[in-house]
Amino acid sequence: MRRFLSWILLVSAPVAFGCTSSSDNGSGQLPGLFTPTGTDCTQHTKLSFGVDESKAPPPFQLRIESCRMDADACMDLCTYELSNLPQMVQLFGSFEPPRFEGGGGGFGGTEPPVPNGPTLPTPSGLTPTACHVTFDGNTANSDVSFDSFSASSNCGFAQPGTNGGSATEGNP
Amino acid sequence: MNKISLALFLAACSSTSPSKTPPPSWGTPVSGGTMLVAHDGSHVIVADPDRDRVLSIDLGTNQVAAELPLNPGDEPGRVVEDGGGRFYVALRRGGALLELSDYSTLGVVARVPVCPEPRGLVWDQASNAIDVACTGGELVTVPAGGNAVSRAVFVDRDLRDPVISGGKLYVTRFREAELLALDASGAIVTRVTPPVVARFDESQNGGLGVDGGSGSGSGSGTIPVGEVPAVGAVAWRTLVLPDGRIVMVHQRQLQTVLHTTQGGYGAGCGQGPVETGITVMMDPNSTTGVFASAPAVVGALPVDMAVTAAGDRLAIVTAGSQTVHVVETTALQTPDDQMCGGGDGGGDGSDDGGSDGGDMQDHLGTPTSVQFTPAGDLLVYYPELPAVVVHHGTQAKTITLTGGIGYDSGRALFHTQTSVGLACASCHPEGRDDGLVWQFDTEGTRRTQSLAGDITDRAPYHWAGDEPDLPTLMDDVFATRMAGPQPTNSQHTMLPAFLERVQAPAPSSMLDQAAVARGQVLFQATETACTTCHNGPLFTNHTIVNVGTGGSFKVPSLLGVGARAPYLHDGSAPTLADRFGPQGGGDLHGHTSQLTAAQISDLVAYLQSL
Repeated sequence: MRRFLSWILLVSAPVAFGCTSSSDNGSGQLPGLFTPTGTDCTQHTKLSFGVDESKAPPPFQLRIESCRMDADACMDLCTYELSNLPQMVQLFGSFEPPRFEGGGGGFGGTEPPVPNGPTLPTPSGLTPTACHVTFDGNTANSDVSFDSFSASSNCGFAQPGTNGGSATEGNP
Repeated sequence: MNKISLALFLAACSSTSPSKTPPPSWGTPVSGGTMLVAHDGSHVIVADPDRDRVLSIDLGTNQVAAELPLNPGDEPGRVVEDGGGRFYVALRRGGALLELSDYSTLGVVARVPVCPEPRGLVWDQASNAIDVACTGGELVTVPAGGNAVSRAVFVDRDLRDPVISGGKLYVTRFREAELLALDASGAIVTRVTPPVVARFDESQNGGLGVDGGSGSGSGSGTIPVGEVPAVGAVAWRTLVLPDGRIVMVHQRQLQTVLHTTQGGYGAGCGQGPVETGITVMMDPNSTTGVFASAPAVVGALPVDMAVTAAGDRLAIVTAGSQTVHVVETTALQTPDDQMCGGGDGGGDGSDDGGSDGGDMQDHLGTPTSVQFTPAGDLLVYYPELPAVVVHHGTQAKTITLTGGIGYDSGRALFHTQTSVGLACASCHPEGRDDGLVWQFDTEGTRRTQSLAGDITDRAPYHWAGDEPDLPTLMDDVFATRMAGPQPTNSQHTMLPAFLERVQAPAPSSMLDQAAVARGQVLFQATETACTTCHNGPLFTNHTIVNVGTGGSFKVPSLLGVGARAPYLHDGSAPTLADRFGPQGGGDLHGHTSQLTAAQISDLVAYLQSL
């Protein structure tokens, strides 16, 4: 586990400058189970990673090298980083919690977060809305942004089967 | 700008950015099944068609023991071992059988030319010879350790995997998913195809209601309205179980109506018009004939399959979903009565399986080959990294190979299944075609067109020529009809470049060259007018014309036409000779009505040589 920790660093998110590459699908996806009907239902989050390719597991090596060769492949690296985020949080307790833009709220993935519960990210369903990657030698520095469901007090949502979302309720 | 911002800016700009220009196109279309574990289990031989080389990996040290570079374009494929520890590799484009001395050195014993496109191999213990099946229809025999062909017979086009069960030789046909039983002379004794099975099709308001066909087993009989027949196609891999049963993993075509709207290729129970099937093609202990087993695998492009030495487990690669499925062979005894064709008998669809059962995803790109060691460990080959992953129970060890990462976003897109369970390569296996006709809601019946042979010079595309270029076609077919993600700029550039390197099928080496020569004269004669439209290096003038076959269609290239049965836009001509029959458009389609039967035969021979 310590070896696994050694190849990835979570750093604060500097604003990307013009010389970085970016991919942006602009999807802003939200979890599919609930339909937000109120305001402030979207949590915008940006995370930054520094991955040492020489020490990274093979799946990262493949994606890092692909991204290095083709900017359009970087979104796959960012997606893979997101998909492994909860694994790292859960497996490596000393992992520094990510910082959120906008503050408050929690992660959302395939399921909305449990109100007042843990704010761990869920692995699947998180789609990057922006992905900026640069390389510093063997290290791939990536800024990954994504949107997720927010359980803020101003967000109402309709539950499945409520006929197009007309029935709403506020979060607790 | 304050000092901190300036420092951040400088730090950021001292790094390098990903390339905005995609690298050169890489790799070959996935053919699957290019790996073999030695009989003693100590080494695994990997044929790397994307890098034109053969590797031997010591499974004790997890190190490469030997590497053999081949000629560019050799495209090594299937591997077999004889009783003396020699290995044989089919060079798919090199047209030869490569004989290697042993797994420690991979010394080249001989390179025997066998046919233009060798595919499957089998070692016949009784005769101590290697049988090579070729797409041109040749079945070629080379004595083990020998350096020359001892026999070559023509069987039928599109041969794939030869197998031996009960001392008898069988060979499959790729697109037709046929199993041919051969006699000692190589003559065909019987032909068997997977049984037609019924599938519910929610996209249809009442199905086609056709007869279930001739296949015996669970799917025969009339299929009621509301259901559609699913017929066998594209037999990626066939092997023999230790008990003598011959098992084929193949695709099935759901004979539904395809729509050209968003997600319009979705069919069945939402899983698309192509599914994966596993069929017991021959059972020496049963009199019931072929048997379509319950659907055990969900995923596109089942390009390889392996069985344990004990015969208790199968591993199947679905390249489209980048998944390896391990299923119990007892599942082969369960009849196919699942109308949705879904379910996964070996797992729950998650990637938490192991070599003992379930689904596995190693996240290393597209897997293309699987093998079990004698001890039951499962090996999976990933060509892109490249790597071999050894699964021992739920533990996995990655052996990263030399050669550098192979990257091609177009190749990756071509083999990736979309949300309707369909990949480009589902209908265009190995970059060619599935030999099938499809019903479209607005266009009618259309035969799948081959992508092989100078595709980028063949615009406009589709039978009606209504797709002006390949990026437009990709957006329409992949993103819209197949419900895939919008292709990136890189994919728009790299997929055409990747496909451009896929060569047209080579002609058979056993054509009557005298007939070919006579046919060429006829083809080029002014009176037949063939070259009015079929001219130039691709044998097409790229125009859209009505030649009396039921509409106006783009003049197709004739490169590799001999391998593209059935013919015409709707597949209504089963053979090239039939194209000169009533359905061929008569003298609106060239002027051939005055030709004798012998001359038509010569013309066909020439076309088969293109």
